[in-house]
Amino acid sequence: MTGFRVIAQTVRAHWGILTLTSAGLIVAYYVAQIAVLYFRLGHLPNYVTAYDYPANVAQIIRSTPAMSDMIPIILNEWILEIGYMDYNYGHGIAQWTMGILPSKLLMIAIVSALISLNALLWRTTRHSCSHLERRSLVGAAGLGAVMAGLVNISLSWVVCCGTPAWIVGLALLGLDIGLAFTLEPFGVWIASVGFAFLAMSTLRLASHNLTVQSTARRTSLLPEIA
Amino acid sequence: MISFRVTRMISGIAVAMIGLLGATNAVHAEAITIGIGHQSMCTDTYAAGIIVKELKILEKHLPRSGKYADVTYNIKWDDYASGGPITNQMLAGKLDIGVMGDYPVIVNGAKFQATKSLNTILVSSTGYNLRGAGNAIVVPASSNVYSLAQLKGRSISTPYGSAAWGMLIKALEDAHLSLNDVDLKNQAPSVGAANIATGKIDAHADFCPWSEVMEYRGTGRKIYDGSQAGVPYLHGVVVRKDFVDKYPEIIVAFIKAIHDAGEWLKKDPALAAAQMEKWTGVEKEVLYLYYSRGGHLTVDPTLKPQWIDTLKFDHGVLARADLSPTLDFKEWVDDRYVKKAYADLGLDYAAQSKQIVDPLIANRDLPNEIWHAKDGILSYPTTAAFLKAAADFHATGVKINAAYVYDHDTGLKLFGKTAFYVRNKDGSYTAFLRKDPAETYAAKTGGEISTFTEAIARQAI
Repeated sequence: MTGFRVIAQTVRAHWGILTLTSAGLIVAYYVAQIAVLYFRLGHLPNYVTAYDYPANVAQIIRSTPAMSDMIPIILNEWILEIGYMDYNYGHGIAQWTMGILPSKLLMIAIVSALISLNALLWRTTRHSCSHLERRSLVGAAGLGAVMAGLVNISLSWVVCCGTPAWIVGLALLGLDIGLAFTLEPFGVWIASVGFAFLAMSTLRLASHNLTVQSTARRTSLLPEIA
Repeated sequence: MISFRVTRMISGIAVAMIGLLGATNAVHAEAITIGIGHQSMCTDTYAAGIIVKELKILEKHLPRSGKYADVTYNIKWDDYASGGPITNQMLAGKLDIGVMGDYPVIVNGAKFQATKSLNTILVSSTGYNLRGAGNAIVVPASSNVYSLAQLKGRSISTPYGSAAWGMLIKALEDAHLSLNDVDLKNQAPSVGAANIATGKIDAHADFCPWSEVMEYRGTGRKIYDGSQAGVPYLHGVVVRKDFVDKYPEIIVAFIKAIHDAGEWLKKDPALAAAQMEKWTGVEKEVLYLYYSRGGHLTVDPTLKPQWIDTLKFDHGVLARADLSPTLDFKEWVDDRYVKKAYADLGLDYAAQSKQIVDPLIANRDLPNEIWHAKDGILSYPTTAAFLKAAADFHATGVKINAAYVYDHDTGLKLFGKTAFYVRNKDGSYTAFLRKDPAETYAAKTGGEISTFTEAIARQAI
């Protein structure tokens, strides 16, 4: 049995808790962004706008001849906008917004599922590997989650007239502007490395789990995860 | 038999013709959606945005004959806080026309050109200030900072990537300061304005009308005006190429609407400012500073060669900061539509495109003004007479909405209350935007420098 089979087995056995924790992590991810904004700028969101995502995607498909252009535009499409409108100026000006983009939501859902899976596998294997390895795996998973999470930040600010992108969120969260812009071209790489760390950690934990299960079978003990 | 065949043939042709006519009618019965992105908090876009929308000027010019005979129009106006989101919505095909400032408009063109199948065209300008007024650096009203040099080691915020950011970079370069000499922060206009009001930041650089809003509200004071950078400030209209290729007449109609909006502004600027205040929420006194005679903005849709040079310069600033891909100006700029609009309106495009308003020359002999709450705009030929009138109003408690004078060095229209005044030996007054030039002038002429409050106190004696 490979690590992948252990993962599949774990998912089958614990899909309920996995779904719940993943959903909780997704909510926590977006709530955390709003919380940081609140502490940094002092305002809670005061407006929500929902977008007709299917109709907008259909419009993009109709109006974009090249597939290579169509995909990135669709990936940038919003389904929900939550923000703070400052009514001290004009009839109100959006000071900051957090967009829910299905493409980013999917990425965050994958990250959340991997974190939940890691936690489940870690619970089983925590006594089967060394303290150092355990800490390394937790560290790798954590670092991976942070990297993938950062690149999927979906905050925007009226300040960045030129380039609304994930680095806007970083700048908004307090990162130096120059550093944020330096990081921008590496977004895909940062996310990829993040996902790789998470996946590696999951697989490693699954392998350990395999060892636990083999040992359990040899000693006729029931496996904790089956 | 033959006649039967002929009858059948004629009937067939008739049916086919009816079918064709039906098909043609179906084309004519097309509903055209025109998506326009504008910015009600960016003053310079009004001539192609809020005015055209609220006065329904586009509707007046939309084509109704030929292939547009049975067309129904669905005009969709979307208001945005900056140009970036307008570009994104244009990329997504939700907007066809975008109205934005010089820096965002460049990013728009470059972003579209970076795609394989999409493009935008710069079809028209909306207006300009030759000297770059509109952007400015503001300090808290109570600050002891009066020049850019004094900002060394202090914090300056600006909306990153905006026209104001571009101006700030140029201003620092001109003052022999590097970005390392200041603590540069990225702040939204409303955040910057709030921080200026509470003194949380040393300076804030922003685009129109934020600096003037801060001055008008008495929270901020300009220490640097975009006009000092010497780079024109302008706004433009970009259109998706697929839209303009399909409906060129609609774009021509849109440019005619911009022209008409400019004429409406010229007719009665005070009334226009009051009307625009209702639409945008921006104070009418601030809007008057932009759109009155001698105001910051000259509404002019023509694409002057100088504007293209300015946009090329601006693109260089953006490209050096990695904020914009390359932009082929030859492919991007197309003045055929604005020329056609002028021709249709019976106007001389060539003459208009050569005409550039330089505030220093155009405003030289313009009277100072007081916006009396009841009597409207009152004019005063000299600054001394203006200050005397202001003193009289102040003494009798008469409410004035705002007062306007002109900067001696640049010809820019200023709020009277924020200007510095030099009382010359002959009793006349000269107004200045900034304290440093006022002091230099006073030292040279033996004059005496004062603030607005001090000057009207002297006049009241």
